[in-house]
Amino acid sequence: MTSTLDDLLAHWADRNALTQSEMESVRAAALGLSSAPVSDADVDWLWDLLRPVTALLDGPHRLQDTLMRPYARLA
Amino acid sequence: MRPTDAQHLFDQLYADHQRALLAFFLGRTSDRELALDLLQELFLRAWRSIQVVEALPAERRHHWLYSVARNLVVDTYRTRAAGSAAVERLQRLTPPATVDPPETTALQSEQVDRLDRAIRSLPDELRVVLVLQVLGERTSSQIGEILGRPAGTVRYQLAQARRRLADELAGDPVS
Repeated sequence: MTSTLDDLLAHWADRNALTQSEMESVRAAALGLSSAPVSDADVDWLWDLLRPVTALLDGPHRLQDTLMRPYARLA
Repeated sequence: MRPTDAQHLFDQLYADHQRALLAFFLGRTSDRELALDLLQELFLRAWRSIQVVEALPAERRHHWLYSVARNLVVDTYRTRAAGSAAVERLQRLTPPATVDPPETTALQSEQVDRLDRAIRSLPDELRVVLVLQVLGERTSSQIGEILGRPAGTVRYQLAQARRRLADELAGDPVS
């Protein structure tokens, strides 16, 4: 297979151009933004962290209902 | 200037000039990682000075960018003399940490590697015009404006650069 110099230069340019993630990362760094998008793993981790609390509120003892009772709030 | 206007101007400058400025830095340094660092530093300065840039006539704003870019390259060479780690990369001329598109064949990839070495071995003055044309997608007149050279000189240098590359690659199946 032969390639012309123009073809090779075009491949070379593709290889060296900024990738989409590099473009976003340079822009974010310049603007002082966080370039790290929130990943699904981060969201899962946060839900895992909150699960004991939500389980208490929504669980069989319905802590949320207890907390809503006037005497509980006064106490 | 409202913050949203400032960011809009920044994004416009970034979209219009990032490719050619990367080419400028790559042409000057032959080091893609260093070129990326310099590009980031340049746009960091552009953002910090966005009100100064905004006050310039639209057709003069790219002059500001290239003026800062030239200073960054000069500073980089100065720092090199002081032995900074960032500029030591300039001397190593390591292959760029890039990945070929999937459709690139192994033979083509090898040819592009050879071309990359040939481009690095070009004299600075030829390399920067070639990279500004090929990667930066700039015309001879625009390159002349960026580098302060007549367009005719740029065209001559482009022809010289391509001839040298063809000679360097002679023996390869490159026509």
